[in-house]
Amino acid sequence: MTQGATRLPEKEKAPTDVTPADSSKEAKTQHIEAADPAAKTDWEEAARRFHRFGSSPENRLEPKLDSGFNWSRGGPAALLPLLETRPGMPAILMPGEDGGPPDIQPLDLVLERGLETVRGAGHPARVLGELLPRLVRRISRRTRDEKQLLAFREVAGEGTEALLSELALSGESGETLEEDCRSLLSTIPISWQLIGPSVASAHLAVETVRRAREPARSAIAREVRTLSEHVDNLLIIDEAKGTSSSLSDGLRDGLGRYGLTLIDHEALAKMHPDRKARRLEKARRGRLEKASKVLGEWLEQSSAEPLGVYLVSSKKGLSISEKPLPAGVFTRQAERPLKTAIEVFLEAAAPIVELARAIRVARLEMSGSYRPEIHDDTIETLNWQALKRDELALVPPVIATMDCSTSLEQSIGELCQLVWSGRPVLVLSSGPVPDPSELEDLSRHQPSLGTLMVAMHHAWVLQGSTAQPEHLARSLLGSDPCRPSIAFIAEAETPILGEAAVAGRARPLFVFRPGSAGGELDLTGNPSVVSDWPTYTLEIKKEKKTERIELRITFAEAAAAWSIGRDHLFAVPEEGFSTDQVPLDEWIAHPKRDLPGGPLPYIWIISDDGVLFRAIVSRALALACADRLADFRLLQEMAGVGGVHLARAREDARAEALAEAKADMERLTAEHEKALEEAVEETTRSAMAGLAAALLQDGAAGRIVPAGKPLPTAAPDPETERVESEPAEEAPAEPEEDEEEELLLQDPWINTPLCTSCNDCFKINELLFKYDENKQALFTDLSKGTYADLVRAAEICPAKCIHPGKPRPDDPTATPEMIERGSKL
Amino acid sequence: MYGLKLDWMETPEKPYYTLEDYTGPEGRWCPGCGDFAVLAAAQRLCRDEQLAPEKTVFVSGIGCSSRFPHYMKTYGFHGLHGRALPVACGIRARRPDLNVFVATGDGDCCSIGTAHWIHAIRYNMKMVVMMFDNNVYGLTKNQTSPTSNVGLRTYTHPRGNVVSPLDPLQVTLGVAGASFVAQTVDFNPPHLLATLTAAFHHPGFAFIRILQRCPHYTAKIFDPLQQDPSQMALLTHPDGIDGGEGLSRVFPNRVEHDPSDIRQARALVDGERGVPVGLLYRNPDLPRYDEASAAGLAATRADRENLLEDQFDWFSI
Repeated sequence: MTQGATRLPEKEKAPTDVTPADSSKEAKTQHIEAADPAAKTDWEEAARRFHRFGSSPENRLEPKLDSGFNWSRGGPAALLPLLETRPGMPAILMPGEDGGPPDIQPLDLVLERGLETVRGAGHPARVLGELLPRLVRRISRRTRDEKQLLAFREVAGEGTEALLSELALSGESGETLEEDCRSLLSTIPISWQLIGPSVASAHLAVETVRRAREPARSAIAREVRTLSEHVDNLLIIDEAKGTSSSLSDGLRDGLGRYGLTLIDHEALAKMHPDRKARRLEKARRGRLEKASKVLGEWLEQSSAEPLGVYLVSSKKGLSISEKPLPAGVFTRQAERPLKTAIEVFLEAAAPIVELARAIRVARLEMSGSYRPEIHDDTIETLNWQALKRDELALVPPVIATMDCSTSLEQSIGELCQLVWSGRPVLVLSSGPVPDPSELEDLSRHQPSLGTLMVAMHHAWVLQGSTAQPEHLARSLLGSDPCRPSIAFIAEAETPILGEAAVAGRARPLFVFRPGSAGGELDLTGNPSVVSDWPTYTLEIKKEKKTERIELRITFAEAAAAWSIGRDHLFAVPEEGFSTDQVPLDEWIAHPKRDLPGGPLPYIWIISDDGVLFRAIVSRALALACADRLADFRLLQEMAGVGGVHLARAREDARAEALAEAKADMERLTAEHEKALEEAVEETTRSAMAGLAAALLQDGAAGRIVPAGKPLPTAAPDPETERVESEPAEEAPAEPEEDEEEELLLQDPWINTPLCTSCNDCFKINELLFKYDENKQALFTDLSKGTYADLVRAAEICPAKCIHPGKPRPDDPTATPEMIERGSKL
Repeated sequence: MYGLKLDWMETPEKPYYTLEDYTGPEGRWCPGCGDFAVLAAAQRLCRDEQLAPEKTVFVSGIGCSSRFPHYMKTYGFHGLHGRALPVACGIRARRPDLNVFVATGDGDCCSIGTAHWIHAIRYNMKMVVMMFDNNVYGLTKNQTSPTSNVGLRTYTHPRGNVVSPLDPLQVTLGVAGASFVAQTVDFNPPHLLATLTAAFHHPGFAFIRILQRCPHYTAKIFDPLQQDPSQMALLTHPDGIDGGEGLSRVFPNRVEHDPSDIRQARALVDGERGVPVGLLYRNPDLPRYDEASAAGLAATRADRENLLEDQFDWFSI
């Protein structure tokens, strides 16, 4: 308990409700009726010393102040809304169909779409619809600790089975739910894979990169098959020419035994000029044979198997969590994996370079445009750099994993070498979140390797987090097969910690796609991209008043979520609040923040019973927040979503638009005034003319003719009027529609929503009626009852919701008396 | 950290309840009785709100409608005549974790149970009170009830009732502490369910008068309303009861009424603009007696002994 502070007993607290915007958690603030001035001074002094000197015990005032805040049962208030961003929601990797590109979708959306498909097939699936969030949770839990990609259909099947056995619904509800689950599973193709929040980066990279290259590989395979057939045909024809070069011999070989019984090949040869069939030149034949062999071998061996992937890791090897590796993955271990990966790429690319040569030869031969003096050298000297984008997609991807324990200096050196080499190798650098080293010495600037690599503008760069599997997988699918690619992946201890790191700008998400125009930086996936920090509103209900607090998720909030960061925060209860304390985001921009006696930064923290405290932030952590903000602003500037240049451009555009609008307004005003003057003149002229005409010609009739209309010269001809109106009168009706409507009205029907579930109709004929899932009546099958049953049920129905319609022609109970009774219903 | 759990991942699984989980034996009311509709609506409410049957209790007194708890597969208390509300208040006072519903009739509530009714309104404990008003004692075979209209011929008034009927809505609105007053009809299940749902979500004492047809003794009294819905006035307001768009077509006569306006509510109950159907009054901010009575529930035996000891110390010498 706080010394000197007057925290009231529970029953004396004025209950107040605190509701974070878009969150259902309720809380209350501590209400102090009379704070002790001495205690307030103690808190102020303690807060100031903590901010300046940190958490070392000798810097605390004696006796020590204790706010009573328990970090194991409370945390930053601003992180509450993060729950609604669904951090860690598993994603589904969907391979493209018919050569199309693959796609990534979040689990809940995929299941909702599957449910829509089930409903589209005529199943209401109401119970399954309500249980869908539960199925999502069950599948999510299954993936929580899973390092590998899972077969989605299999996991979904396990989930539905567990759900069914857990609920153990009996009767019709159980059968319907089981049927709906089966229908839902049938909407899931076998090839879909499930990616959880703990997926190993290497597994995800292998599967996504492989899937991303499938469409290009399929397209090339189709072309290679055509080219191979063509080259083989050329060689077969050449073989068929045989050793003789005369036309007569050629005809003899070509006609065959049966043809020769009908046609005299020598006579036929004499009728034509002597065009001797020439066999292919030796060099050309050799070229074609080589191409045929390469194309044929590739088709036979490589195209039928999944694309191989090379995984190069350090001597320590891959962690156990990354094993077993997917099929078709070849591992290498090296002291310096990035350097080795470059060599491995050249090895992997060699067969594809051969294939590319064969493809070029075949294409040129197909079009008959191969010219040895030009193409021989070109094709001979062709190397991987001359490969086109789709051809590069055939090269088995090379993935190098960078050890997170590698020193920064060594990492930068190796990465720079890779980028300069231009080899399309994918580098995976995974690091834990939270990273203990990040908070050990906050005074040391932590350069972001991702930002540095962006600055080199030659490599595709990703900074992602396993807390957002969808963003991570989607980004990896878009990695560039023609350039070095570098992925920095934050492996979060739990999804919420990973999401806090993203929102607090400690690990902002981005993808940099290099290009000839300088590249494009994409910040999609970060909350509130255009703001410094994500902002949420906390509503505090004190008695009947509602107060709102703007909360920002800063790096301090993320640090507070990690246990290692709490040494930099000092909880202060309400009696310690003072005007010197300012929110951290304001402190960063405060002009007097570095002066003696300057403001103290704080963040809001909340206990599990809903009491709000302020946590004074140590100077080291506050400066680290400013540092992360500067990094993020740099990214915003590069992405074009913020910064000085964008603000200037916005101002310029606004000024230009205002000037244009002003000019338009002046022009339109002038035009309007002119048109108004003309209209006034015209109206006056017409009115005067009309008045004059009325006075002179039509004054006796007393009519006033509207301005601008000619005066009628004679009364309208009644005959003409009649003729003109005739078509409207004789417009044919639409009997077909009426007949259809009449037919519909003849069918028996129940106004089900009005049914009061009284069971009376069941007593007339229990085979004819049934209840729906709301226990309201429906027809089962009209053939199971008679017209008399319908009429009696309708008569007895207290809600008058049964309508018997017209009887069927063959119904023996449809007596005139019964039809008369039925017609009233 | 304060249990920052992923709500979509960490929520412990609860059982899922279907209509069968709330459906007890088949109702033994007369064919065509309006009680069937209320029973079905209550079961649907429980299903829609996924109320645990073991955490739900239906309390009743004596009468046709008071057979209600027998047909619900939840806890039930079929009490004494007129004593449904004291029992319900007792349950609510000591078991605030339960969902309490009361089924009572016009005789049970407005005659022998009137005193309890008035004070239960004052207490404003959270519960849903369904007052089945069929204008007659049905279970005991056709006696005049407090809400019977003048002229109604019953066995106790074979030449017609001579006493003006009591208006349960007007009475409820006149008691300090009334916090939710609504009226609905049994022959419109969508509106009935919407009313029950709104009442369930009200934090205090929710009183619903249900105009309920008795097919034997007062078979004709609600016929005019059923045949001509324009005689009813559907109360509409953004804070009122939302029964869906379909209701607008069923009720051609609609009156805009702010449920926080108790004066207009009292005026509407007079029926000059039609028999009101919908939410007449709601005030969610009134104090609740069950909040006070639930204090100390968590006290252990030792706590209580210590408290007693403290009290005894006052008298020690």
